[in-house]
Amino acid sequence: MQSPAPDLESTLADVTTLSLAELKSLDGLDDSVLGRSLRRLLEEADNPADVVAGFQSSF
Amino acid sequence: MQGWRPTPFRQYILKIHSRCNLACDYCYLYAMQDQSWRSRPATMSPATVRQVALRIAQSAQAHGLAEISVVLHGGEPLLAGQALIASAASTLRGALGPDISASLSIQTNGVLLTRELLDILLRHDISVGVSLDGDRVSNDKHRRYANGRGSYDEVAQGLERLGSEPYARLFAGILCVIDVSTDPIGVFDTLLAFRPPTVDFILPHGNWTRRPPARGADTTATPYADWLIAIFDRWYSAPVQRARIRLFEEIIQLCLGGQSRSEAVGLSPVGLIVVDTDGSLEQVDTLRSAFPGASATGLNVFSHDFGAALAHPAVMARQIGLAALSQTCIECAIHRICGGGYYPHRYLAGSGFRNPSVYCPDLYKLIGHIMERLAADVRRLAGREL
Repeated sequence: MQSPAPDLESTLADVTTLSLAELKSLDGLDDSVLGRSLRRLLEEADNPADVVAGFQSSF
Repeated sequence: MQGWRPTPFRQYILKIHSRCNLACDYCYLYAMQDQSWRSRPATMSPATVRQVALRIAQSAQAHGLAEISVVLHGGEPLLAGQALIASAASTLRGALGPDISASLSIQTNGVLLTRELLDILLRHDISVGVSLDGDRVSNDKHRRYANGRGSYDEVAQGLERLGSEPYARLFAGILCVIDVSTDPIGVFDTLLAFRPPTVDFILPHGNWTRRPPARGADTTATPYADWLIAIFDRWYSAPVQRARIRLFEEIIQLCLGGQSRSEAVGLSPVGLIVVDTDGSLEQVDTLRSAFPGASATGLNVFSHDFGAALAHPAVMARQIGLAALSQTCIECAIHRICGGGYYPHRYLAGSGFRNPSVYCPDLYKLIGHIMERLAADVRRLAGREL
């Protein structure tokens, strides 16, 4: 039961490089996967208490 | 835990029928360790539905929730029949009243999705998720009737009806259990042909004691990551995504610093509870894949409210996030993203659930791949826009 070596720190740092303030300053996020994900990130940042994990065996 | 406060349930999984008209070989209810379904009533009675509705309303009111969701589940929930499905929807919405919105859905194998049944679901605004594992050959390897006949043809007909007017607005998505011996792109294309708004890919249930298919001890082998990455690259690179893919979207959200809405990944508190046909309260019932009785709480809607379930240690374990992880996970760079993996997949006999997922090598590779694709795009976005 070995976990792989943790070598993703630098990539993780790159991905989270945009602060919320910077995100909010972006205009017109497109409809790409990233654009939609960033819009959701902003929406959920406004309502963090609403995020709970749901059942994976259903929609 | 000092200072910890439970997260109220927002999603209720109602087992309205405990039997199934298929005999899928990987089913966590019928083909694994726990056989408790044999002693349960086949159908949830109207009296039990009324009691569940009352308890849900009490819980939602007590916690000031404006909306909750209810999933009609099974077994195969459509076996419960049109009358019970219709009355359950009316009973639930009636008990909740005008101030609490209830989103109702049903998760079915699709075999019984007739126009008559779809009319009932439409009338009661019940959205529909269907389980299908890809093309006929891929699907019928596992999703068969008890006599061995494959289910693809009936499910495909049901999906065609669901995707047509006036029912298309009910279509929630397709769940697909992964078989790594299949062609991932072929499976994905088959699912897309039914025009689902969302697709999700489910890892077959297993754990350290009862390993999933093809998930051996060699940590350099990552068959599930390889299968999923093929689909991710096709999906992520497409100019327009023809469907959302829940697993990927949740991982992306976590990579960007957000939170997951699925129990499959991440550390968000699990806000669901299962009610069996006899009214007994259970944790997520996929735990039955671990050992007999793994999902049981000993509670029942007739004698306990949902607050009692929130205080159950096993329910708490899925709401405390980081504190429930193994030391191996805590020391890993991406534990906040995988969240230790799906809880039932962490089980080891004699040790319990405080272990990494048996899918750890696959999750690590998949998440690493997604992160690298995202990082490149985030850098481009930052360079262009900021």
